[in-house]
Amino acid sequence: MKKQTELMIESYLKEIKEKLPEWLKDDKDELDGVLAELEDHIRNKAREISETGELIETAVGAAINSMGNPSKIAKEYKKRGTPYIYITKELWPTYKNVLLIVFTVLASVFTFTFILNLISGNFEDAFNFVGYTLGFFASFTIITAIFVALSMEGYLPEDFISKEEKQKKEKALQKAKEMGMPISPKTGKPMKPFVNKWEKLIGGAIGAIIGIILITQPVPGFFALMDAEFRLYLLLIGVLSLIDALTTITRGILGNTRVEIHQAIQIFTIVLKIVAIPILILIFMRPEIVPIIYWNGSTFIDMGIPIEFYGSFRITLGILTAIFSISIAANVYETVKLERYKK
Amino acid sequence: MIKRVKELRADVEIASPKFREFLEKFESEINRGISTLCILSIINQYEDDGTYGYQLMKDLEDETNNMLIIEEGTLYPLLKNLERDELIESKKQKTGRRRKYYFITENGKKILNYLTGYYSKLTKAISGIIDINVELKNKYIYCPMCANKMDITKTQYKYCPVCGYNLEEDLKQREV
Repeated sequence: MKKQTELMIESYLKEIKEKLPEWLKDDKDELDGVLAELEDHIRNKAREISETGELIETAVGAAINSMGNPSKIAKEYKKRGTPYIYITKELWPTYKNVLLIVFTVLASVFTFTFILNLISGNFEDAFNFVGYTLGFFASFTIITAIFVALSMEGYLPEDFISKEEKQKKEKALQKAKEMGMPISPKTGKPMKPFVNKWEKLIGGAIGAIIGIILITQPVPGFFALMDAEFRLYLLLIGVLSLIDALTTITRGILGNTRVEIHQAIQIFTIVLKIVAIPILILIFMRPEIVPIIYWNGSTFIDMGIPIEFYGSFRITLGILTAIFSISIAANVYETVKLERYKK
Repeated sequence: MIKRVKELRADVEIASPKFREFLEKFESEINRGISTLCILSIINQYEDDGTYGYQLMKDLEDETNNMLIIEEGTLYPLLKNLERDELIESKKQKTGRRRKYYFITENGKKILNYLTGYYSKLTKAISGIIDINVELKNKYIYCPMCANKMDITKTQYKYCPVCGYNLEEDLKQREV
């Protein structure tokens, strides 16, 4: 049979447990921790009051008294979040999102019903806006009431996330901090990496190899077949490719740090691309110098582009040049987007 | 021991309902901020060893001569909130009782320096109005911009770590 003192402590903790907010009760480990901490406190206090170190009824009673009213303790645990128009600041964004989603769904349903009524000639129902208004008002009231209740209970957005998800997010946050990634001041979440280190390093290396091949033009039997003017263009493209590859490798080495340098490289890439456009235009103007080389089993032979395919060639190169120009806009966008990562 | 208003006899003049309500509210508002400051300071004193709730309460009572008393049951929700704000962290005892020990975090230390600095400068500033003497210890420098408290006997400061204010001039003046 349990001692009276144990029963007193148990009963007091039970009362607190019943009154604790739901978000705390949902997490069993957390709840056990809170109750264990309170129990430890009562036992310490009671032993001190009893002066003998023994738990006696009067001392336990006094210790429980000094702990305070269970409702008050439970209420303190509900004091989470920053008060803000009946709904806490922390829950406010979720509240707005839920309202937006529900209102969007309602608006879609109402629009569909409205059109359906119009088509079926049911004009009275179609223009009966009372129903629509009531629908919006009722959902607004229900959602608001739920969020006010959640705020009063001390719920925070993270209480709706599972432990595993929380751990995953914490890990991601830790990783982002280690990588020197900025943390969004608005959400407290890590921002997406703006650079994939290995993608840049591998891409840069491939670009550098292509650049070197175009500059050195190492297979005489192959490149010698080409028109000297076309080889010059290849050389220029090779130089630009090599420079671009080196900057890409630099971005890979920097990783997700030194945002300013990434921005400068982006601007430099824009310049390189602008320089490359006239070369493409020159090739566009002179399809007769563009080689089409094949291997006949013993040697390379340049047959060039047949005249009847000049039009197709120009269309293809035109599309490529257009895509290339659009990629400049993407570089501008990336440069501007990087502003958000500056600390 | 100084009694707080709610502990005074019901028939004393100050304890009339009107006065009582006003004073209780005043005490509660002041105590709320100071309690956080004191709790952080005490946890900071234990540094690597950490401290647990009951010890913290005892220290608070002892160090404030029983002037600042937090209702015992409300200490733990307060600690939980500080933990959530990442100013402190807790570790459960692995053996024996599952006692929870609290430690101040690096962020907590920064916040504590700022809070103590702000509170010290504020008390000093209003000392003339309420006619008291406040002597700020010389081993600290208080940032003229944000009031952050810095111990210049432990660390050499050039800039305030909170607001980035250049402290060189102020430190030179102090040497003079």
